[in-house]
Amino acid sequence: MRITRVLGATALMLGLAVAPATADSSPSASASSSSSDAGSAPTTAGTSFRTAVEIEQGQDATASASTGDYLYWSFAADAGRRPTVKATVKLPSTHAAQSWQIDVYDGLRRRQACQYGAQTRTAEQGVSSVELACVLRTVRAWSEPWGNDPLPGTYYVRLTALSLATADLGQPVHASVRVDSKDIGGAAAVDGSLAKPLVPGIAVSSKSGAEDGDSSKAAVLSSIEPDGGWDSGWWSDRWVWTGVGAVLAALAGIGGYTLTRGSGRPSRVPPGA
Amino acid sequence: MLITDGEDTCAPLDPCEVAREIAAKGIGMTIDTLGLVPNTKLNKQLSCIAEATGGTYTSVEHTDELTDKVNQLVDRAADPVVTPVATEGAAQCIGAPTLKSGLYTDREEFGQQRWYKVDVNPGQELRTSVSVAADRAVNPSYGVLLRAVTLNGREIVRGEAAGSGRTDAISTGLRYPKPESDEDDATAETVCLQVTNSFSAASGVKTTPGMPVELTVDVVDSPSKASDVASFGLGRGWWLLGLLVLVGFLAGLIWGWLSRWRVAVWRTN
Repeated sequence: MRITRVLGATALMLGLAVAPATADSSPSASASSSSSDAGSAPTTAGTSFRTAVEIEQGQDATASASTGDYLYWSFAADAGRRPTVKATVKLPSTHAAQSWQIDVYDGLRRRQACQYGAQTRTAEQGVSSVELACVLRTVRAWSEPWGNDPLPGTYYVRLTALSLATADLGQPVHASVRVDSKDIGGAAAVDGSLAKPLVPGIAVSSKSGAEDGDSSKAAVLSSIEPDGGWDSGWWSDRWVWTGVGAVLAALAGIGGYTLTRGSGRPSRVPPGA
Repeated sequence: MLITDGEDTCAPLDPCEVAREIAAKGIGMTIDTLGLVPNTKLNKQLSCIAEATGGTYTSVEHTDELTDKVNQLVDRAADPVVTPVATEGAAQCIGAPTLKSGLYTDREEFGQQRWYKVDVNPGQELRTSVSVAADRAVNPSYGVLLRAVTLNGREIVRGEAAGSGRTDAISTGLRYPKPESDEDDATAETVCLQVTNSFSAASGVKTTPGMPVELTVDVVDSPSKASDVASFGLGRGWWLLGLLVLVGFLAGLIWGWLSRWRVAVWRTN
């Protein structure tokens, strides 16, 4: 059997021997490593929803991967904002035609539609890079449970080759992803709000945090939060519009009233009366 | 991690199926494969092994690539991830396992149904999502359906997803906020969750063990119900301003005429 030579066998043994040990000891080890590189953009990607790498908006996250991998990132999006996901894939020098796609999923792993943007693109033979984009719908503060509207919480980005030739499997590619969002403002301000953002595992993580009360970082499905925390959601420019409207209505009322009074005296009364 | 420089010679066993069997035994193993002498057959075989266990396949042509990749894979293996709890859904809601908030894993064969139960108190919201992973060669059109059903069989809400093309998983989710109850003795409602998939495969593909199912359950506080479409029922835009100005103007005009008329009546008297 040629499949496992010495190299492969030792690596496999090492992997098997190390896997349980790292599973036990990893929280402390990685907590320090993740806190040390906090602030710099991630250079890896996850391989599933569970292992998605968390990125912040405005960061250029990169990852070196292989054609055929499924790359997962996650980011936080808050109400009233319209996120745009952009991805660039640098392809190897020789390859057959292959198409790439980004999919965005919300905190409930429901696929979210792109309003516009090239979500899927085919790279013809020899093309060196593919650029993909997805402009999501505006995130609403609340929606009915039967709706599929984007809600505040965690969002997942999945980048993958949708169709490719078998010969291209496993070829090295370099992917970069960036999420920006546009503030839509009061036009998207809806009534109601979620008691908790749609962050997976939030019921477990908030419970354990309250019980333990310590800062040790255990593995959670998603620990993501936007800059400045989640929006409390009562302010919108609708207050300004409505307030200005009330003032203008009052002024118009006074204007209408004075119009009927003329210059202060009824016009038919003679000046000397 | 599996590093190899050639294809298997261990016929009749298919290493790909062996890997799937091992993964299904609940060992929680992911196999990342590295091929040193890439050719089409090795590509196919190693990516099949990786696919069967949710791992990655890389073909390596230079030594530095190998070092980088191995380092990357070791780093990734050291990251803490939530370990799912193995559960086994029932064929119907009666007798289904009761789940609390957490991450669960199960197996589901083509066309099979899996039922679970979750208790939701009044004033709480059930959030659940499900992913069915395609760990073998499946036909390019597939779907998943997640339904929340009452004990009496009434559907409350559903999540559904369908897709086509190459995929690692298909997922959907739902949320069900249970309204607050005024009664003191209000009890928790048992919500049945039904997971079905519409994956299919060519005739030669083994249907057992089932495909991995990942289920997240979160029971959190219920959101405040919206009483209006707009935030606090407030208005916005030029139409609103125009309307308010018009109404204000008319009100002033009428009030002015009324007071003039009253003055005139008073004068004549």
